[in-house]
Parts: sequence; C-alpha cells; structure tokens
Amino acid sequence: MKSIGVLLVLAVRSLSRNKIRTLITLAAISLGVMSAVLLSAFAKGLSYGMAENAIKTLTGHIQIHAHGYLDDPSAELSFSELNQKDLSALKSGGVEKIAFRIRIPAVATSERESAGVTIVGIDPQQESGMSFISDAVRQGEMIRNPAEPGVVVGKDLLRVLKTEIGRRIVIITQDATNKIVDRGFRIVGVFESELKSTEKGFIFMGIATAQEWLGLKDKVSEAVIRIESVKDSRPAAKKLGEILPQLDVRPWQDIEPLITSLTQVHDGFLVIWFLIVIVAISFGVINAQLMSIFERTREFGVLMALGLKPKQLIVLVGMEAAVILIVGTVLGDMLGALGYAYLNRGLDLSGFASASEHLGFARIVYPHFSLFDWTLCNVLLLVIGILGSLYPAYLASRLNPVEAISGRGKE
Amino acid sequence: MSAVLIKDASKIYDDGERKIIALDRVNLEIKEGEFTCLVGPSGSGKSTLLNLIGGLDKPSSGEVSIGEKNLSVLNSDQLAELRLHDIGFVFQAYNLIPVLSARENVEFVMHLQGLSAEERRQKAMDVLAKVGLAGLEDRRPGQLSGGQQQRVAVARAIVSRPKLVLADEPTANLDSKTARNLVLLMEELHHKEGITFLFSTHDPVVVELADRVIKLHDGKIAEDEIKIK
Repeated sequence: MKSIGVLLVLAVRSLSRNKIRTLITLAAISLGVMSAVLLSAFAKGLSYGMAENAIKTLTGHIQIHAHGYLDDPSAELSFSELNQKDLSALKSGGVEKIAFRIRIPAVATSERESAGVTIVGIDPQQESGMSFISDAVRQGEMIRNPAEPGVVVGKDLLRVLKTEIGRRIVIITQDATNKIVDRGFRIVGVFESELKSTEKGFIFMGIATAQEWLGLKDKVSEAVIRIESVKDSRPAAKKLGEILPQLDVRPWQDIEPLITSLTQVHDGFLVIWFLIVIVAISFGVINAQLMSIFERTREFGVLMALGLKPKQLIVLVGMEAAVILIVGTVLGDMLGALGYAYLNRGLDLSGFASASEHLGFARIVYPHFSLFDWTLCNVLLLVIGILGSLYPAYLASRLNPVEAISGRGKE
Repeated sequence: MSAVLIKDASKIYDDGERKIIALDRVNLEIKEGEFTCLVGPSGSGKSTLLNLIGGLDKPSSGEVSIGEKNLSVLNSDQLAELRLHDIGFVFQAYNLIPVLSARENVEFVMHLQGLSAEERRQKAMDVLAKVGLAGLEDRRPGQLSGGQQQRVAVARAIVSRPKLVLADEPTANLDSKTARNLVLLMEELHHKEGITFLFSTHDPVVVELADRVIKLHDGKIAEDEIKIK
C-alpha cells in the first residue's frame, strides 16, 4: 500500500495527542505483560524446582526396576545387577552415571515411637553426584562403604522417633522370600534435606548390608541413571528400554506423576492467565481507540474527503493500536526482565513451608524464563489486541464523510 | 467541456417524522475553468450541492457527473479515488490535520497518490511559496493564524492539479482583509493554473470576484448570473 508510510506517521503522532490517555494505556499494557512474564517465570520456576528436587533427591533422570516393582515395591521384585555387556550398552545409550539401590518399605522403631519409612541400600561411591545424600549428612558421618552396618536417618525422622545419633533403631521389613525380618541398626549419621518428607521418609544403609540382611545376594531393587540433559529423559528411557527389554525402564516423569501433572496444571493456568490479561488489555486498548475515534470524527471525515479509502482508515486505526501494543509489550517485557533479574536470586517460600512441603515445592523458588511462554504471551497479546482494534477501526471506516466533517458522528 | 454536470438532482433527508427537501430537481452545468460561486441563505442547499458534487454524499434522485464520470455508479472506494485525483476541498474551518506540519498537510494527498518523496517535497514547497507561506512550511496548524491555515488548505486543495476545487464558505472564519487576500489568491490561481473553482459563500468579496453567481433558494436554483468581464 502506497500510503503506509504517511499512515504510520499519522498513527504515531495521533497517539502523542492525548499523552495522558496514551500513557495510561501503555501502563496497563506494560503491567499486564510484566505480570504475565513474571508469573510464567515463577510458575515454571516452581515446576522446575519440584522436578529438580525430585531428580536430585533420589529419582534421577531414569530408573530401572523389575517389572511390577513400581506397583509392589517389595524385596521379592528385585533384579540382578547388570552385567558388563549391559553396562557397556547403557553407556553407549547416553548414560552418564548409574547407581544401584535396594529400596524397600519398612517400619522403623525406637524405644518410644515407630514410623513407616523406606530403607534405601546404597553404594556411597555411586551416589556421589547422583543424589542429595552424599552431601546431606549434617551430624555424625555418612556411610563410607556398602557393607557398613550403621544407618543414616533424616533429622525429622529422628525427631519423630524421639531418638538421637549413636542410638539403635529396629527396622522391620520383608526379605526376598516375603518373610518378616527385623534387625537393630546404630544411627551413625543424620541428614537434612530440602523437603521434610524426605527427612521423615528415608533411612540409608550400605547396599551390601541390605542385600545380606534381606537375602538378596547380588540383586537390587533399582538402578538410577543420570544422562547428559534432563530434557532427553523420555527418549533416552525408551532407547534404554529397548536395550533391556526384561526390565521396566522409566523416565522421571513416569516415576513422579504428581510433578508432571502439576507442571501441566501450571501450564494450563498460565494460558488462562495470559488470556485474562490479554483480554483485559484489549478492552483497554479498544476503549482508548473508541474515545480517540469519537474525538477525531471531523478529522476522519476530512481524511475521507481528501481521498482516504475506508480500508485505509481501518489500517490507520489498526496501526495506532499496533503501535501502542508493540510499545507497551516491549516496555512490559523490559519490566518483566528487570523483575526476573531481581527475583533470580531466589524467592524464599519458607514462610509457606507446610503448604509448599505438601506439594513438594522447593523452599526457595528460582524463576525460570520460558521462551515459549514469552513468545506465546507476546504473540497472543499483539494478535488479540490488534483484532480487538478492528472494531473501532470498522466504526471509523463506516463514518459518513459529510456527517463526520460536520462533527455529527457516524453513519 | 463540462467540469460538473447535474441532471435533476434532488436530496431529501428523512428522519422518520418529516422529510426535508434540501435540493429539489437541480440542473446545472459548470464548464472547465469557471470561477463560480453559490449564494443563498442558510438552508438554501449550497453545502448539500457541494457535497453531492464532491462525491461526499449521494443524491436521492438524479445524476451528478464530474467530467465524464457519473458519481451515482461509483462505490465508496471509487469515489475516494475520484476525490483524491480530481477534486480539491477547502473547508470553512480549515480542517488541516493538526499533527502534520503545513508541508506535510500539503504532501498528504500526494502521499496517497503514491508520488515520490522528492516530488512531493518539491511540489509542496512550490505551492506553499505560491500561496505566500514560504518559510512557514514546518509549522503545525496550531502555530499558524486562521488566514495562514486557510492558505495551507488552499495549497493542499490545488497541489495535485485537480479538475475542480470545491470551497465551502472558505472566508467565513476570516477577517475581511484576510478574506479578500485569500479570494484574490484563489482567483490568481484560477487564472494562472486554469483550475475550476466552485464556492459556496455569503461573502460579497467572493461574489464580486466570481465569473458566475448561482443563487439558491429552498433547494432550487433561483438565479444563474454569468458576468461579462
């Protein structure tokens, strides 16, 4: 269109005519965009924090079990540690690190209290860089070798059992033949964790100790795997599943379905929030455009008399909306970036510890920038905002030039 | 050749309760190069006739032609094209675009016509100099006097050499001296450039300088006087 340049000049200068209205509209757009950008970063930070917590705690990127173990995590459903051939195949399948564990539900009792727990038999060497436990012992000592007889318990479990480091607790569970077995273990270390539920729910012991006690010989309950990038967990799990068809290979998303569901809920909530913000902004822009059109009826009539076609008038009004939307969106993105930079040091949610604990949120949430969410928010705002401005633009194009020039309004 | 040809044109406004006959079966021919004015009391139909000729409004019956184009058969885009290329407007209230400078106001029509930036600028500067506004090209309408604004409006109307300039009471908001100067300017442009002017006016100065005076009364042509100069 030959006239696009002059229409753009007219659009930009017309916006500067009523500065207060333009600034108010810009402020509404910017704040809306900023809130959407920050909320997206916060929600993504929550989801990523939950996933990161779970992965760092014990889940890893991929887990391997005997078929049926996830439904019935008993000692009976264990599998032999992988042979050298399988391990080589896993390495070639992208596995960076692997740890084998015994993981069985049990009951721990002290002289005064008892609690349901999960006993986790580990090789301390394999857990280094794999799970939180290698760096989490705050009192006493970490188990040094797989055959060490002591156990490491969580700080909160210590409180629940009303016992202390150096004392013995009795753990009752079922062995490989489903027989109830119990044994006393001395508490050699106390760990702390991001989540109280972890501190309350797990007891760590040497894997060889657990195998010997439960009659598992060289068998394990699970193999936990870390790969290079968490994003590749699902395809990597599929690939490993093909290498080990006799075993159940799952990515972390399947192991922690609550986190996956919450992430989906967050994403859905974000889209709804985006739409609410964008529709509210669009109403503001439409209102400002309508006011502008009613104030400039005479001018539009003159433009039509000079030879401006109705569709060019639609372009002019649409451009005004587009300019204010683009400037407001850019300002909102900049404010969002500033807010993101400020919150990037972490948002401390420990004041809501019990609520966040229940949902598995981290105590400190680090916002996470999502290019997809940012693009979605910006594009939706521009598209819906400009589409909304077509209504006032249509009204302008329907003006009768004679009535408009005389200031009598629309057709 | 006819610049404007009107055959049996009527314009009736109907607000549902009553009908107002603004123009009643008007027949009129204005030849190319005429300097004509429409006179008559308020409500006599002067502005309505100008609006029909300018393609801003359609007659209830009858035909209006500009050159060889019958306006009745043109759609809104075609009418806009006609106004863009063939007709210049000068309004009583100047009606310049307030966010554009004098030069940009004059260039606006040429912008829509697709002329190059250089050509637009050259023509705008020339025509502004012609109407006595050299040196004021970059001022916005709010920084110009009423007379200067109306000169910009005249420059905008004639810059693309239209077949016809329609001026609806162009001197009504000006003092008598400024009004006289403006009409003399338009008369000069008419003589030098051969542009056809059609005014609606109450101003005796315009009437005095016009070649032809058409008197309207109650929507009808009551008198049509061609002066011999």
